[in-house]
Formats: sequence, structure tokens, C-alpha cells
Amino acid sequence: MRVFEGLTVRRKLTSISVISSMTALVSASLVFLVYDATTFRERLQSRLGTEAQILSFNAVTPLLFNDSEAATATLAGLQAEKAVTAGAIFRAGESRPFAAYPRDASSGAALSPPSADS
Amino acid sequence: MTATAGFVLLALAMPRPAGPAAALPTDYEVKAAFLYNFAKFVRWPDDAMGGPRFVVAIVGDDPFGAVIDRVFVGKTVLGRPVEIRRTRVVREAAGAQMAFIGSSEHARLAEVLAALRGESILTVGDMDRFADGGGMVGFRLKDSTVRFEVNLRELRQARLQMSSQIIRLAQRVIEDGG
Repeated sequence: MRVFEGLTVRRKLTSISVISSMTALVSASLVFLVYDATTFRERLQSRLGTEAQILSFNAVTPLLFNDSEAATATLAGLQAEKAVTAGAIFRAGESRPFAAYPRDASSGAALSPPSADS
Repeated sequence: MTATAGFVLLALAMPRPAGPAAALPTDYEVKAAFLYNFAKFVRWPDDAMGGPRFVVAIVGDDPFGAVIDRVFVGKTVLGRPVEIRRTRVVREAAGAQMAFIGSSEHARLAEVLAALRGESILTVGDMDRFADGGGMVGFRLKDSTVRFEVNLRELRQARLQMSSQIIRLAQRVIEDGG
């Protein structure tokens, strides 16, 4: 290889080891990036599922005791989750939310009750 | 990939407190439903659950009428069918798991509560300052919705464990010395 011409053996060896390390690093990073990108959705989904489960557990007694203030406070915990733009709790069969959390003023408007089979 | 996830929609299939959607439930329908819900979130010591039935005593004037029977009918609490026992004599509430003290007992509340002390009976009432007067759960109205206060000291003395899930909903929690 022409690039290596005129270099001492010592330099050549150093260059070879630097280049091979770089190649390994770059390919490993690429693999990680691809892995991250492909599993992102899945991980986000499972994380949101867990959070919804926790919320629903904490929403049981506010619902039983008809305390929408407490339910709203429970939902406000969603603030910590940047990926969530809005959340709401509906009583079965009602179209107005029992409690709602909009991240900003515009995001709450889109909330509608889930269909009966969901 | 964008970090915008959809909405988290929680559909909890909770029955409405009572009655058809047309009429709003009355305060006593709500309170009766609350009594049932309290029963689900309180732990009684084993020796207080010896009988085959879960007994709800109503001491003094009964403000519920048939409403409370409707709430409890066909339901079980801790695996036991529910018996509603109406009485004017406090002693007849012995062996009950829950006692609603009617407003007619306001003047002699201390006496009534003293008679129930020593047993693990969850005392509930809706007279003024019930929880301050030594009752465990006192209903009160806030903006015309039914809320309640909890007296933890009395609960502890009766060896009753109320779930924190309920305590956090209390308008006021009376602790030691409070």
C-alpha cells in the first residue's frame, strides 16, 4: 500500500493497529445504532405500558371514591414522561374524561374515550 | 425515529356508583357505595373475622333506608355475605365489622364509641366532627360531593389497617394527638 511507503516499520505497525482499532470501533457503533433504532419503538411501548399500568393501579380508588381531583393528581405524574403528550381516565361508557392531563393546552383536545373492546 | 408516542388511554371498567345514568346518585347512595368500598380496602385482624358473615351495623337512625341493602345485596366482603344489622342498642353491634353511627347518636357519641372500643369495628359516621370525636371515618360534603376524613389513631387502636390508597383520598387525616 502506497500510504505506508517511506514509513519506518515501527510507524507502519502503529498505523496498522490504529486503523484496525478504528474499524472495530466504528463497526461496533454502527451495530449499536442500528440496534437502538430498531428496538426504540418496542422499548418505548413497553415503558409506556408499564407507566399506564402503574397509573391505572393508582386510579382505582379515585374512581371508586369519585375523586377526580386525586385522579388528576395521579395523571399529573405523566409530566415526567416526555413522550406522553396527553392522558385521560374515562369512566366506562362516558365520553367526558373523569380526569385529564394535557402536556400543553393544545394536546388535551384530541382525547376521546377508548372503544369498548380496547 | 420521533419520540412522540400516542395517548395513554386508561379505560377502567368501573361501575358507576349507583342507579341509571339519568339520575345523579343521592348523597346516601354515594355514602353506601363508599361503605362497600371502604370494606375492600381495610384489613381486619383475624380474630375479628370469625363469623360467617360480614356484618354492617347501623346504630341509631338509619339514613340509608333500602339504599344500603341495594348496594350490598348479592355482594360479598372478604368472601362473606353481608348482613345489615339495624339497631338502636350499641351492644347489639358487637361482633360487627363495620358500624355506621347515625346522626341521632350525636349527643352520646362518646358513649357509643366507648362501647365499641376494644373490638375491631370500623366506625363510620356523617355527623359533624365525627372523626374528631373519636370516630374512624367521617363523611363530609365538599362542594356538594361526598368526601371523608380519617382518624388513624382510632384505626390503629382497633387494629384495623386501612390501605394507603384510601388514606391519600381523605380530606383530612387525624394522626396521633391530632
